[in-house]
Amino acid sequence: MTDWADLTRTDRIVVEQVSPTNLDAAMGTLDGVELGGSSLSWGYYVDSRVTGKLTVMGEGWRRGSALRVTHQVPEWGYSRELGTFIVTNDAATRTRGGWSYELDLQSTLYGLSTDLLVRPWAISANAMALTAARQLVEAAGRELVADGANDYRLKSTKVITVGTSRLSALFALADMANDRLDVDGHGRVVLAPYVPPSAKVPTLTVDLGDPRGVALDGVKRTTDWLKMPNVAAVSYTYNSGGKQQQINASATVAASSLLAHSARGYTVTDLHELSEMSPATAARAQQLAAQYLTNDGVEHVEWTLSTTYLPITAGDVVDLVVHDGADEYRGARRCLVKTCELALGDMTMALTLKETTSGEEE
Amino acid sequence: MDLFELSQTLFGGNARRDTAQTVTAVGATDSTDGSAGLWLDADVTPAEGAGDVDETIVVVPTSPSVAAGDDVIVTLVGDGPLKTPVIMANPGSGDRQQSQITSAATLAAAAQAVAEAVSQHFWHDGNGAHVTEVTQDEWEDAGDPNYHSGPNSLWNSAGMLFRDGLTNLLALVAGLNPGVVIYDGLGNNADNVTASFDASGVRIGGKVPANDSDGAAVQFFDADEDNGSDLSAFLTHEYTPDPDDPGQRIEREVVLNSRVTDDGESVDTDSHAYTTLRLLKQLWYGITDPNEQFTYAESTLEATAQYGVGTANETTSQAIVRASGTTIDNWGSSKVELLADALGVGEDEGHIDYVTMPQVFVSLARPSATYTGSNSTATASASGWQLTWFNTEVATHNAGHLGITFSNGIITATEDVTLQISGNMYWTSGNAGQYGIGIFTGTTVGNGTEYSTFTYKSSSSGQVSVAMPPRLFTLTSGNSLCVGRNQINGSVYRNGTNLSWLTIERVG
Repeated sequence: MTDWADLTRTDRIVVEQVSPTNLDAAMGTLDGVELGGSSLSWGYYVDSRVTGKLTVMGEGWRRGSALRVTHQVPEWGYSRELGTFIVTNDAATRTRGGWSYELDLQSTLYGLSTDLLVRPWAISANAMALTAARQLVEAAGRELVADGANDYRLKSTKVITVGTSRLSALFALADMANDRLDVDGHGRVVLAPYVPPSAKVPTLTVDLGDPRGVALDGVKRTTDWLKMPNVAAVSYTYNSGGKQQQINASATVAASSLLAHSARGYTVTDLHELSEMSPATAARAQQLAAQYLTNDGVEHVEWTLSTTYLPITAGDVVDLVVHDGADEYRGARRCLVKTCELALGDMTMALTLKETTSGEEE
Repeated sequence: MDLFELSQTLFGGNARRDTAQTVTAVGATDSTDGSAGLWLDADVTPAEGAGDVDETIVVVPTSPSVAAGDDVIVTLVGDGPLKTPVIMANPGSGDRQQSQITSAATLAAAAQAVAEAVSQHFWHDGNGAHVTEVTQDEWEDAGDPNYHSGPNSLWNSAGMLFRDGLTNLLALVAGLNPGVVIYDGLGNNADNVTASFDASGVRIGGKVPANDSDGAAVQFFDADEDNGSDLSAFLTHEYTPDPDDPGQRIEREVVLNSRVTDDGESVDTDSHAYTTLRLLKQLWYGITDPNEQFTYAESTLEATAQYGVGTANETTSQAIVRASGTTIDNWGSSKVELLADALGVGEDEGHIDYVTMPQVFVSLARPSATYTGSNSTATASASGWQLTWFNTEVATHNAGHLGITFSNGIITATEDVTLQISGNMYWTSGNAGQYGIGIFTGTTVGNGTEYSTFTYKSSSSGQVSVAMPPRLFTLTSGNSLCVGRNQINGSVYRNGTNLSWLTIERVG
């Protein structure tokens, strides 16, 4: 039984050296790891998905080898690969007669972002997006796992020009097929059907009031409601008969809204100056203003907090239960784990949770 | 938007002009449906399921027309890493047009050389290039005796025209609908076209003069072309009836004939065989009554298959199937007649195959003026009844198919059947309720009470005429259907419209 609230367990972090060209080939444990100065970070909106840094005392790191970080709980028989990384920086410092290394860790996706096409790549009409993605990944010596991923038959020929990175081409293909590109703990590139955070099932609940709770103090909430526009306006300028003319329209939130001037005492205007509008009518301008105001009306709420180790990663959805504070933000808050930073020394996590009602970011 | 040029070479060529920065095409295929294939000097993810041959070809949309080997300019459109290539210009087509002009000039020079070699005159005017027997001056001089004389071949961008003077003989048409047109040499109108061949179809035969008894647009002859009997295919053309011959019969006929004979006159020994399929539609226009333009039509499909293994002129087996058109009978009903016939000579007797009829009509009538049946002798009563079929031979067979037998005025089911019966029953005397139709168990009749089971019967006594709408009678095998009471002392007439007749149709 894996009770993550049970802090009497033994957490063990193992760092293995693996062949940089064959991530299945282990080359022994990395000695001299200073866990106190080491951490891993996951980011849902970060292209490389996961990064880290590792402090190593001595010359244990075999230059060029990739590193795999595994979390084990021996009494549970639990073992999970947290990530497999390439090393992109190895700054060395000499102190008191010994050398210590600050290793910058990057996921294998990073290695695809620096790998630019030096020949154009044409994807024929009627080719499958996953076929092209697999070619792109395997040509770079990595493995693609796409079991269950959505596929897409290209309707027209596409050309990827020289200078485009493999990673950006992969993102474009994943978008086309409605898949999400990710990397697993073993360093494999993963394509899986994209599920918007608002449609995901929560993996666990973080209850701030639970006496055995995993949440540490220091919960912080940020919201942009004070910056949200209460007026959206459209200004369309056009030429008619040699004269410059303008159509202006605006929409204002209801007086009962917390955003209204009567509630906040000031106005934030979202002005859209348009050079194209069809049809060029006042009614259309008014319609657009109302639409912009609706789009503006999404409040972005984020929570940051520290917890003991939880088996979650960026992209997971959790329920954050808040018992006190302002009425608007109490109760179970369904949140996407936007970023997650794991300090390997004390096994605490710094989480940034974004409420799923806040919509997706680009 | 990126713009760059793709260079290419002709297929199989080794001259290659690399001007492109990003993608190099080594050739393009002919454009079809607004797209063309390019051989790109690039890594290619092929179309799903594409064979080896196509692996390096990618299909891109094109607005200009592209021929194999053309230089094309490709524009990449779209934001993001995946850009869509589109052929926006085809500089190579200019070369192609130049090449076409060069070939046309070469051709004209060759024609001129030929014209000179055969003492013809080669000249050109606004219509195109001409090859004539006379010089251009004579051709254009209306006062010259040679004006418009002699053969003329006229060549221009629309094609080639061979003329006798200015009368068209043969046109080789270029342009949007290329083809060949053959004229009758009598004029240049559409009526003068006797044959044309183009992508939309083939036409053979022109306008046929009225009253041409032959009427054939196309005839196919074998080598012995003087013998009409050797016509192997015969397609007639409808022609206009002669107004002076009101009773004229118009035939439309298609004959497909294949025969092997020694001399066309007699059939020889054991090697002859022929098949004939003859479709004939005959129309009579009776114009004696000006208001009646169409009085009779008959269609005949006649198929003859004949083969012989015996001696000369002997037919060992012949089958003729003839389907006639709808005719009108005395009862106001329609009938379809289907006849099968077989002729047998020698040991191989013919046999008759019948075709299932969907509907059979019978006339059930008692033709004698007076009937005096006996209560105990049903057999005797039968003599007054008559089951009339339109064709005895077919009726005999099809009565069995109906699942009934008819005997002594009683219909007996030989299998489980449902019959739809309608018609008219007429008796001169009798009591109410004793005339009608009903089902009996078994075939026993004559106990005088069978009318109690009538399901359709008269409601009054005396002279009775019952017009029965279609009714269904379901008989199990062995049961009988009796029409009328069998010990009738009255009379059943077939007299004018007061008939007794029934139509029986099996419906289940």
